[in-house]
Order: sequence, then structure tokens, then C-alpha cells
Amino acid sequence: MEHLAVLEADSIELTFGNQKILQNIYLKIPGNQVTAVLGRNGGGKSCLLQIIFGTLTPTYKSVRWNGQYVESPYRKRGLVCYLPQHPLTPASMRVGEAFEWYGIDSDAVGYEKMPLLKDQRMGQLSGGERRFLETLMILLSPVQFVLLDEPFSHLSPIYVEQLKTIIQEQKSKKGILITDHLYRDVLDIADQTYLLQNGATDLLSNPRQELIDRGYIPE
Amino acid sequence: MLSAVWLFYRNFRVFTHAVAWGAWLIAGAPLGEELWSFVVLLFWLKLFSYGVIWVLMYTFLRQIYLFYQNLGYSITTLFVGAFGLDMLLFFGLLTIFSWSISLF
Repeated sequence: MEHLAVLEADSIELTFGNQKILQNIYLKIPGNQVTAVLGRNGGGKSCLLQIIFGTLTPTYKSVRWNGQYVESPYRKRGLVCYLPQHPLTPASMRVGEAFEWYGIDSDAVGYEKMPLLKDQRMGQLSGGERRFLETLMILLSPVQFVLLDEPFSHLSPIYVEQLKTIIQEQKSKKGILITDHLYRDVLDIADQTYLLQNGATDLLSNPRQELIDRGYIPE
Repeated sequence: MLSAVWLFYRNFRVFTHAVAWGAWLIAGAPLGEELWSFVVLLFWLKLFSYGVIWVLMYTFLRQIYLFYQNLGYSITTLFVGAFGLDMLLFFGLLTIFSWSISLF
């Protein structure tokens, strides 16, 4: 039986001034699954992703890979990639070159517009197109886990659907953590859903109903 | 790793070279024996200019780092690598320049 990697985060405490942002966190990201984290604006979702990635240092944290503590997961080659909310790639870099940096052959991506786009610079693309390509780049990276912070923002519905398909395909190769406010799209693809509320995470057993009950989405 | 450091260094190489070459010119473009007494000062100036770049990038352009962090490089690794590369380029060019002048 193939051993599945697991990334876990707990005992996280993050404070800004007197305000506790995160305090009672437990998150388990299994390989081969899509894990969703939903929560209101300013709830600490992006901070949580950065803490797991290793670029934000909280007061306390425990991030474990297969039960083993990892201080800075991003420094462990082939472990994790992170898509931030803002543009990721240098604007002057060509699309094909950016994919190459991340170990991806742009000709083998299977995106029909790639032959036209691969020689263009990232900064020349429209915001949505750049976002789509950067998300694709992270998703196809040869790593065990990817953390996606609002991958659907600024994307047209056709791109969102394409990304959902790619996420479903890629989950056979890696664990995917996603957070986005387009909750319907997130719930469509999520195998497990956490709600981040008042600095704590809860694993939801019946996400659609519990999200209503807890006031995250309207009835 | 060198290619990632080079890519990162390209973001501010014009600034660091402008500062160092500017200081060298202001000091009267010393060469030969005079240059070596000025080298220590240039080193500290370079270190100071890197401190300024670090603070400015950390404050205003922190998102730049994520491209490299996804490749496994920390901010410290990038800056130490870029500083080493910059020193090598600047003092290498100065030495070549100094030798060329002494030959003619």
C-alpha cells in the first residue's frame, strides 16, 4: 500500500498587538485530498497559510510532515508551494520561463492558449490571465502539497471551472489546501472543509448546513 | 542556486553599482595602491547599501520574495548570495580596471 503524506498544523497562536488572530488551530491536510478552509475576511486564513508555509512566524506553532516537526516547510525541497493573493512572478519574466523555474514543461501543460502566451511577459497579461497561469504553475509544481490563497479571485467563470478540473486531477498527486470566498466552487471540489472562526478551526461534517448555522453564508 | 540569486540580484544591481561607483568617483577614482586603502570603506558602503535595500524591500516589496521561497530559498540566503555576487563583480571590475590602467 502506498504511503500517503500528511501535513498537520496545530498549537498555532498568532497575535497582532493585543488581538489574538489565531489561537486554537488544528488542520490536517492529507495527500490526495482537497482540504478547504473557509472563513470571514480578516479571520486569519492567509496568515494561517503563511504559517504553514513557514514565512510567517507566530508566537507558537507546530507544523508536522508525516508526524515530523518541520521548522520551515518551504525550505524543504519538494514539500510545499504557496500561491499568495498577490501576483507571484516577476512582471518581466516570460510565461514559459516562469514555468521552467518551477520545474514544469510549459509545452506539456495542456492549456490550449499556452503556445500563444509562453513568450509573453507576465506583466503584459491581463490580471485574470496572470492569476490563472500562476495558479496553474503552483498546482502543477512537483511538490507534495500546495497551498492556494484565493485562487479563484479575478477569474472569469470559465477559468474557475478549468481550475476546478485541474485541482481534481492534481489531487491524485498531492495534497491541496484551498481558501476562497467563492464557497460554492470550493465546496464542489473539497473532500473536507474547515471553518476558521474566532481564531479556531472546526472540521465540518455537513459543510453546507453548518456554514449557514454558523453565519458564514446566508440561508 | 546561482541562477536564482542572479535573478534576485537583477532587481537592485543598478542601484548598488551606482552607489559604489559613485562613491569611487567622488573619492577621486583611486587606483593602484590608493585603491587598496579605499577598499575597506567601499566594503562598508556596500554593506550599508544592502541594509537599505533589505529594509526597503521588506517594507514595500515583500511579495517579491515568495517567488524564490517557493523554490526553497530564504530571504537571508538570497541577500547573502546577492551580496557575495555583487562584491565579486564590483571588486573584480575594479581590479581589471586598475590593471588595465597600469598596463598602459
